[in-house]
Amino acid sequence: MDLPTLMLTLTITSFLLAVALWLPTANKSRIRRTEIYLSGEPQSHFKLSFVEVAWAIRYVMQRLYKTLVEHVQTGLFNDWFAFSLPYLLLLVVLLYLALGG
Amino acid sequence: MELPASALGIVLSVVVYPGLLFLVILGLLSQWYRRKLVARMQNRVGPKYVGPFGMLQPFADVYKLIFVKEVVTGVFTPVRLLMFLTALGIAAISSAAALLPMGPYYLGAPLDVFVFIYLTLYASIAVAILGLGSTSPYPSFGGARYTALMLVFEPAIAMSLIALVRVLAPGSLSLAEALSNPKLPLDSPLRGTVAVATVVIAAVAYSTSLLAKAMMKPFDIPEAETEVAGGYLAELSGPALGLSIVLHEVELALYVLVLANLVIPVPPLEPGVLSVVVALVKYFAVLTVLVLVAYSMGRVRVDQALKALGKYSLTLSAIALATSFLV
Repeated sequence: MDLPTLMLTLTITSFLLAVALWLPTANKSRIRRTEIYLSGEPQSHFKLSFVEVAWAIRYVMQRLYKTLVEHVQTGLFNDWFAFSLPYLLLLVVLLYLALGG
Repeated sequence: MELPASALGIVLSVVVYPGLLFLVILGLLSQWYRRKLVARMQNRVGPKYVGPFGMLQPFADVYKLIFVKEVVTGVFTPVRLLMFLTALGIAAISSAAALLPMGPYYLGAPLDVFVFIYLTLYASIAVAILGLGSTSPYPSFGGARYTALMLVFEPAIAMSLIALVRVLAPGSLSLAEALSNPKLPLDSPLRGTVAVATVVIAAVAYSTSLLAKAMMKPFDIPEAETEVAGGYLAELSGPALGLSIVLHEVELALYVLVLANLVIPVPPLEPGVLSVVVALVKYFAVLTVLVLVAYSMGRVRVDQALKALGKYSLTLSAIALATSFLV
């Protein structure tokens, strides 16, 4: 069996087996949903508006930007190199293997 | 190297032996063994009541969770999706086991070590999403911590595994061949020394990464009970929890089985009964060493875990991979 066939065979087998395991165990009748606790308020008070989601996305992007600026793009080449060295090493190995090992 | 594999043969090797059924039994027996060993180290008794010496306790726990209990979860948790991902992780690990030359049918190809790495990644990603997919903060913390560690231990496991297979099956990079027909180059003293050193370094890197992957001490911060209430398992119950426990045990069993038979390559892994018994003896020996080393240490913080993994796992695996090219 060649490599792509092996990969495809085992991936399809995995998904089929996963469905066979999942169908009997994830039966809806065996799942009981509980309401979330909102300091005594009813759950109907919990609403997620577009503005809140937009603020959440902004907050996450802000943190990502801060992390990038403080740890990766510090302006020092050494910092960038130290960050990317493991990934570069992996790429070199993959390139070596792709060229025939 | 490769036996002709029919569709029935593939199904049997993935579902029964050495796939799902075999790995579940081995994994749950290993859980009992691990709990007994840790209990002895901590002056406790450990599992005792179900079966001889409490051996069937993990089986009883998983049976009750999956077949008797119900899932209790919050309204916004996509629990059925999470259960599918867990089942997919278990199935992918079972499929990866079909690459082991233990049964009458096994699958192998040149470069199949990459298929092994690819399939086992499903399990890690499933564990991370189990934590991150919950609406409760505790599992989210656990998932985020596991993901942070995963970025270090997954490349390390991949590199150390490739290094081990490169030394034992230099021509084909096939895991099945490295296990069934290992060739340590002992013809010249220098090459032999470099080969043995590479195996030892890769084994240390692989074991360290494995402790983090299996969330064993000292890298069990993603499921710390006293800090994040059990991490990714905190909001799971019933069949969802049962499947997660099975995923964890099956994953650990497969990784330790591969490690034991790559690090102790003689006698090689073959389909015969005697060979499989020897492979299991090697498995329990390596598991004992791992558990004794792991549980003699205390839990470390996330940053300390990342530093330790970078030092003992990522760096060592890169060194092992580099030296494997010299063999």
